[in-house]
Amino acid sequence: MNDNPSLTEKPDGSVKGCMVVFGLIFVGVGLFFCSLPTVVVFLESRSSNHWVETKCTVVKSEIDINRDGDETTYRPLVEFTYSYDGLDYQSDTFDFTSVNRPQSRCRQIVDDHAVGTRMGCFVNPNSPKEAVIVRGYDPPSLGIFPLIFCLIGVSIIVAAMFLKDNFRNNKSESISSSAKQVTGHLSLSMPNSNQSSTPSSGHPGDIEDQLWDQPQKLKPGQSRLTAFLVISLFAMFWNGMIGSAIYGGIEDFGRGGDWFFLLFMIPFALVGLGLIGIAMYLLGSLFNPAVEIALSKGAVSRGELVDIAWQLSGRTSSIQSLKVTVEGEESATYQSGTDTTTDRNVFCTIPVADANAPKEIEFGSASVPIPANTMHTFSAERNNIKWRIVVHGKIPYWPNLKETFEFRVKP
Amino acid sequence: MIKIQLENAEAAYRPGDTISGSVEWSEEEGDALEARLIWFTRGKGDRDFEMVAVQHVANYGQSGNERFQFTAPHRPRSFSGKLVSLQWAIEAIVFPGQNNTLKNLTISNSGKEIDLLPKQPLDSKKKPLD
Repeated sequence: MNDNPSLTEKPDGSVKGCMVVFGLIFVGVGLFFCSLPTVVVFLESRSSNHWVETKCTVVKSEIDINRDGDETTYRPLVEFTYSYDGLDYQSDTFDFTSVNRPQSRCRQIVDDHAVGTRMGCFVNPNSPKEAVIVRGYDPPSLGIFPLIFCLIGVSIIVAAMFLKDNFRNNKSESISSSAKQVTGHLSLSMPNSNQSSTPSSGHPGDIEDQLWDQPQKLKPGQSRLTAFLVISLFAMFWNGMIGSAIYGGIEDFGRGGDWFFLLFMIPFALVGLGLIGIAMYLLGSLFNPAVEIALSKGAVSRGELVDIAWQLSGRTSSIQSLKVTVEGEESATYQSGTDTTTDRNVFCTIPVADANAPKEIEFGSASVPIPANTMHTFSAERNNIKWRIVVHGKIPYWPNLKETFEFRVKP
Repeated sequence: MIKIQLENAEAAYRPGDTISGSVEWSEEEGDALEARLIWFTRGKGDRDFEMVAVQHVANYGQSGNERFQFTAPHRPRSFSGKLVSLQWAIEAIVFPGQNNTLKNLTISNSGKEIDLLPKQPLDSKKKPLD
């Protein structure tokens, strides 16, 4: 037994760091797309401070509509004449706005600058053929996507901050002290270097068994953060594509286009909403308590008892009930056309704990017999037998806690 | 024609047991013959296969017979589940035509393949908490 376990270490620092970096990337991308057009036109308008004001007359005022495939863009076409240094000039530069404007804004500009209107304009004294009516720009119409990027980035960073506090809560109550309460037979340490861990030659499965054949602290089978990041990225990609298409469809529909396209897009939009829902669910699960599992042996022979201990840290009070089970699962992977599918079947379920009391939820242990007549861990390219510990916590009005921890069963 | 005969008529072995028998062949065109101890999977998934041991026939002719002997490995055990089954076999194969014959066998502690079909859940012995 090792009473000096390494479980008091905080292995999640890198996870939170990754979250912050990931969040910053999203914020950065959002800000970049928000600010780039603004910065460009701001610099251009700043350079016109020394331009000279003179009188001009509007000779043409209409909305210039440009249709390119499915995309339609608008710009106010306001042509005006003016004189400078005794010479006559004509310009159609209304202001320094470089991005497309909404149709309604173009209509407003055209209405305010009807043909024949006399007004002031600004001429570049170094190049008098350059002139504008307004030495400024319209705030660019950026759409909602950069904003979504920023919001997601900020959410991830806030989540990382919150997790930091969450993990810090129980740091003082190290699992090592709790381990001493488990009658001294269950070590919660990582493999002891004094024990034999040098794999002997032979079947790869035997080598794996030898490496695991000592007290083990298990890691969850899948990181909640990884699942959240993968789904979030996919949701953003999907919704970005579908959102753009729907936005174009709505614009077309407003101009008397076909409604069939919008109808066609409904299932895709629902999938997008579903993905956002899943991403939100996974985001919520990031705040669930952390689970630590320790085994008296990471590779158990069939017919043997294995001691299992669990400890939860974080918001453990939010868990209404906790179930711990040992499961044996067979999986079969097959190719069907271009698709690869994996079917799974749990062939053995052994209840370990069903806790409702807060103390039992937070920490507990049990001895579990591995059946003598069951199949040991088996790994092949397409077919597998795996053994795992499943921790399932029920949390009212919140994503439930579910973590799996793989271990090995020896022949 | 190739025929495999096992000395253990039940073809059931425990890990470490000797798997012995003979291969008999007649009118087989080819250059060489091998007796192999193999396992393969059956079921819903695509097939996994491993050749664990091989014995080459020294004097191959168009007809003849040859004894073989292997030691039953301790893993993987023969099993049968809802999705996957694992089958051990002796395979005799002639080269280069690759005409072959299989003789199935079982390797497990009980001599029967492990059955993974649903059973009643087992109870754990809960320890009192301090």
